[in-house]
Order: sequence, then structure tokens, then C-alpha cells
Amino acid sequence: MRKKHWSIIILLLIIASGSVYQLLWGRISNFDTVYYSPLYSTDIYFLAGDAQITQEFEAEYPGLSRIELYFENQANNNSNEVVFHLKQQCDAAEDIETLTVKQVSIVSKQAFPLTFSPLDDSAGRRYCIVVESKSGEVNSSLGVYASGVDTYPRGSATYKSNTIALPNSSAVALTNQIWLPIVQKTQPVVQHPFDIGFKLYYNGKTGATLQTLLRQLATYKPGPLGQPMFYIFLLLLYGGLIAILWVVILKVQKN
Amino acid sequence: MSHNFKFLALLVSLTLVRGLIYIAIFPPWLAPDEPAHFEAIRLMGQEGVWPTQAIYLTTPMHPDMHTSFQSFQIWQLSGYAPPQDALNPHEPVNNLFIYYYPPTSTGSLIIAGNYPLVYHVLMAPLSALVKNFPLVQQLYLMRLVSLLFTTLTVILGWFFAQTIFPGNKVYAFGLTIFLIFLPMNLHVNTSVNSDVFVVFLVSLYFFGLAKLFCEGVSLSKIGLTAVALGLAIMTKPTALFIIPTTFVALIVYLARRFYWKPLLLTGLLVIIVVLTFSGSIVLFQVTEGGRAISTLQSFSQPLNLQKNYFGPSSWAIYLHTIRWGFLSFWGLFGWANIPILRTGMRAVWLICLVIGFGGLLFIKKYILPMGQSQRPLSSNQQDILLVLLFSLIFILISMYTPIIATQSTHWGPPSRYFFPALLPFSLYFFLGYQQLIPARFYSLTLPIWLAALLLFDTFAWGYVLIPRLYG
Repeated sequence: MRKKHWSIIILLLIIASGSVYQLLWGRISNFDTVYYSPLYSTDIYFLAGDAQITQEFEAEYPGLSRIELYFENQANNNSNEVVFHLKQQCDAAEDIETLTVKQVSIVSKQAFPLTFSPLDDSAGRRYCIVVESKSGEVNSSLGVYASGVDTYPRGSATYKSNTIALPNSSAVALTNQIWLPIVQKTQPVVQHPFDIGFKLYYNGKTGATLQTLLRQLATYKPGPLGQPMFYIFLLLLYGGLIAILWVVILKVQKN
Repeated sequence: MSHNFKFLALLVSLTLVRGLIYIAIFPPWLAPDEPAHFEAIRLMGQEGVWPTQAIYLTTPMHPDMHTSFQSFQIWQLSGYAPPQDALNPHEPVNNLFIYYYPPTSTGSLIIAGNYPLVYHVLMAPLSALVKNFPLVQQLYLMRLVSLLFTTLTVILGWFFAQTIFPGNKVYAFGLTIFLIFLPMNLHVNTSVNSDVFVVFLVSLYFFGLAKLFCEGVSLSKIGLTAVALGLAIMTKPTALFIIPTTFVALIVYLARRFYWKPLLLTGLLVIIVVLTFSGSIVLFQVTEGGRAISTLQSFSQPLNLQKNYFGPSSWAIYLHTIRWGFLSFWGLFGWANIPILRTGMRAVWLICLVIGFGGLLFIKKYILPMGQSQRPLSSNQQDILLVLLFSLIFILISMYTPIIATQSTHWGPPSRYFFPALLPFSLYFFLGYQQLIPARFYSLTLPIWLAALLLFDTFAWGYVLIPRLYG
């Protein structure tokens, strides 16, 4: 009876604490936001008309399969589309991948993933992502987050502002959209080097990925840390010690 | 070799290997304030100067500092904008460290007079010795010294638990496994930072206390504890919580020695907690915080207790900092800002809450019945566990009163400020967990503990850290 009594108290306490927890910390913010990439939260480049932003980058691993970008999207119910072109070079005529998404599906400040079939031979290759909005309105309110300085050493971004006349360019900007036309007006052509915020993801073959990872781990590091084999040695040693620890723990607990 | 030392050798080997893994995974400089601590040590060891503001304004940083930041993409990984020259974007503004790392990173600058320098003085001879080595090699060698201190902390943890629970290795294993497999402990305490030294010193202090309570008072034990206490306070203000802990230890000892009534003991303990809480708030109102005590600065700012400590914005700050403290204990990895909990965060919160209830059950069952004749724990065990419990209260006070006093998130608090209390926390966390295991499954206590921590740690470095740091 006494045991039952305790179980009920514990159960109630768990439920109570869960409720308190939900109350206090229920809204878990997404960590893939520009908040955790402050480097890329300083500038926003506005996409409308024929405006276009590009970013060169180098894939480090085989199987490039996803690129994440950060946007500021203040248009909740328009039918605009955003087009992403993955190219070998920014000025290449042909696309490796072309993706078109509805602008309404983009959530502000959160990483927006562009997924495509893995590119098996991507390791060490250079690519360019081109983003343009198929929008006929100045206030399409889609901005791409970027840094104010050159942050990515293996490529840079370019921004081409809109050059065509848009139908409702005289529309009054809403309070929360004011910054977008300002950005457009003050930065028609960007002279300084900058980069947009992006993350690359891979889904390559395990063997080739591991080989590349070992090389990456060892690069620039001194002594044994600079040898890929050292990491395999460490891992084996670690595995061995864990196995011994399991045996010891089971024995200790038994005694 | 006895079983005890075989076990210890295994745990030491595991600490060393895991420490090496963490040292190898984290690129140079990508640890809390690591460049700032390294530069202060370098100035003392290699330039032969005291790291004052004037010296930072005149002495160039190591010529390879910027190159190594670039090579390892530190600015990009940490998410901060590099301090670039407007005309030549690939070069820093100038060659002074004071304009390179601290303004852009929010990292501290270690300035003599404002910051305790015990750790830096200790490391300076090594820095002088390796002066001709490449910069990155110098940093890795200093990280190895940190690993040595972390290993010593694990050894202390083993003997600490054995002292409190002699003859039962389950507690020693439970505590040390937690220390070894906590990812943030391995990350922070294998980097170049005074945190690692203060964690070692405070652990030595707790070991001394455990010896005093469980094995009897002797001059050598008092000396060991006092030296650890003094050095720890001089090394980093995060150790200041051991001052009220020492008062509690004295009161608990006297209460047992002179048969004080429980009510008197309770009253005195409550008074110490209240004094510590209010004193800490006053300290952060009139000074720049605990550093003023560690560096013996005079108090200069006026006391302002007229703030609204319970308004909606205050509560928002408190909740944010509690959440931040929790996250940075289990993940986030300091300057790298890598959240490992992400989707599993709620699950970890709930597990911790349940273990917390287990801890309360333990306290109710084993610590509170102090005067009863039928007790499962000896009076010595009860006393030291009570002191350790209060040490945890005091470290929480020391972490959160700066936030209450300043009404800002300026002080974080990052979890590494909590790490000096890792020994009592690990022990209580394990004891709380143990309360949740039904008696018939007792033989699974350690295996489940190890499996859970191993899983969490493997997830941390295998699925979060390596992909984040290496693409």
C-alpha cells in the first residue's frame, strides 16, 4: 500500500513537472536560425523583379545533397515562387539542379533546405547557387540573409539588384517591410566582398566520406594529430577501453 | 596491482583517450575564451611582460594568430564576423590582439589587476619553453596540460566517492563515468582556460572535506583542504561558492561534535544561505563581480536595490538564463555555439527532472533523518552529503545572483561556471538516478548509467560535433 502511495506521488510529480516545463520552456526555438549564425544576420538582400543573388562554394565531401539558406520572408499569402539554380559556375548556362518553391513555404530566419539527388563526385568541386524570385512586385518581401564582410574563404557572393519596372513599385511599404526597400535602394550594386549564410549537407558513400573526413580532421594540425591514421588508432583504442569498461562494470555490479 | 588501481588505471586511460579525442576534434581557438587565455600566458611566458591594458595596446599578438584563425575557419565556425581591414579584407585591422579577438568575439581580455592570474603564472614557464614551436603546436601542448588536470580531477573523483562510500565501488564508478562521459566537461576542461585548474582545485577541496568528515580530522587534511580553498579562490571567482560551503562544513561539524539541536543547526544553515544570497547580490551591485574578491579590488559602484526584480522582463531574463544554463551544461560547446540537444532537449529536461526527484527522495530518506537511531547512512556520511548539498545550493546562488543583481544576461551563465561543483553534482545526480531503479533491477544500475551517458556522448561528437565542425 505504502509503495503504491509513493508511486502515485512520483507519477503526479512527474506530470506536474512536465506541465511546469511545458509552461516555461514549451516553445523551443529552432536552433537552425540566424540567431545561431550571427555572422550571417547583418545584411539582407532583397529579391524582386530580375534581382538575383549568387554564392560560390566548394563542396568538401562526396554526395552533396542539401543546401540550407536563410531568408526573411514577410509575405504570408502571395503566389510568388523562388527559383534556385545549382550550377558548376555562376555564369554557366546549364543548371545541375533547378528547384522552384513557393515563397509562402519559406519561414523567416530558419534554415530553408534545398534537397536534391546526391552528387557523388562533389568532393573538392566548386559550385554556385543562384537564387531569384519570380515576383512581379517590389514588396514581395523576400530577403536573403548575408554577412557584411567576407567570411567564407572558398567563394564569394554577388548581388544584382532589380532593373525592370515593377507594377506596384509605388505601393506604400508596410511598417514591417520598410527595411526591404531601403536595402534595395542603398545597395543596388554591392562592391565589397560578402557571403550569404549557407550550410552544405552530404549523403555520399560511407567509405569515400570517411576518407575525406579523416583528411579534414588532420588538415593543418601538428604532430600525430596531423596524421589521418592517428584518428583511426584513437577510435580503436577508445573502442577497446569501452569494451573493457563494460566487462568491469558488469562484474562490479554483480559483486 | 589491487583491483582498485586496475579500475582506476582503466578510468584514467579512458579519460586520456577521450580527452585526446576532444582535443583533436575541436580546432584551435574554438573553446571559451581560449585565445584570450593563451595570449595572456604567451605575454607572460614569451614576452616577459605582465598582461596589462598598456601592454595589450603596444605588444603585437603572435604573428601567426590571424593565419591560424583563417586556416581553421574559426570566425566562420564560431559565427562571428572577423575584424577585417576595410581596404584589405583578408587582413586584420592591425596586429594588436586587443583589437583582434575581444571586440568581435565578446571574449574576455585577461588583464592583470582585473583578472586572477594564478593559472596563467603556472602555465607561463611552459609557454616560455615552447616559444620556438609553431603557434598551433604551442596551443595543443597547453591543451594537453589541461587534459592532465582533468585526469587528476577524475582520479580525485574516484577517491572522493570511495572516501564517502568505502567498500562500494558502484558510487565511484557512477561518479567518474559521469565526469568522463559528460561532453561539455571534456570540451571545456581540455582547452586552455583557467576553468580546468579551478575545477581541479575545487575537486581537491571537496576531496579534503570528504577525508575530514569520513576519516577524522588531522592537520595534514586541514592543510590540504585550506590550500586547495585558497588557491581555488585566487584562481577564478567561480570557486567563491566554497567559502560559504566551508562555513556550512564548520557548522555541521560543530553541530555533530557538540550535539546541537537540529533546530539550531537548521536555523544557522538557513541564515548562511540567506546571507550568501543577499551578499552575492550586493557584491555584483557594487563591483564587477567575484573578480573583485579574487583580485582584492576595492568596491566602487553605488548600491542600487531599487530595481524591479519581479517584473515581466525580469522573469523573462531569469527563464532565459535558466534555459541557457541547462543547455550549455549538456551542449552548446562554448564559443562554437553548437546545440547538441536540439530535438531531444525536452527528453533530457524530463530525464533531469525525474533524476532531480530521485535526488529529493534520497535526501528525504537518507540525509534528513539526522537524529534517528536507525539510519542507513553513518553520521559522517550524512554530514558530508549535507555539506555537498549546500555546496550545490551555493554554486547555483553564485551563478544566478549576478543575473538577478544586474538584471541582464551579461553573465550568462555558461555551464562551465558550474563545473567546479562537478564532484558533488555528479554524486547527487547518480544518487538521484539510483533511487529510481527498483530493487530487483539493482544489478542494472551501472550498465544503464554507462549506456545512457555513452549514447549521449557518442551522439554529441559523432552526430553533431564532427558534422558541424568538419562539414
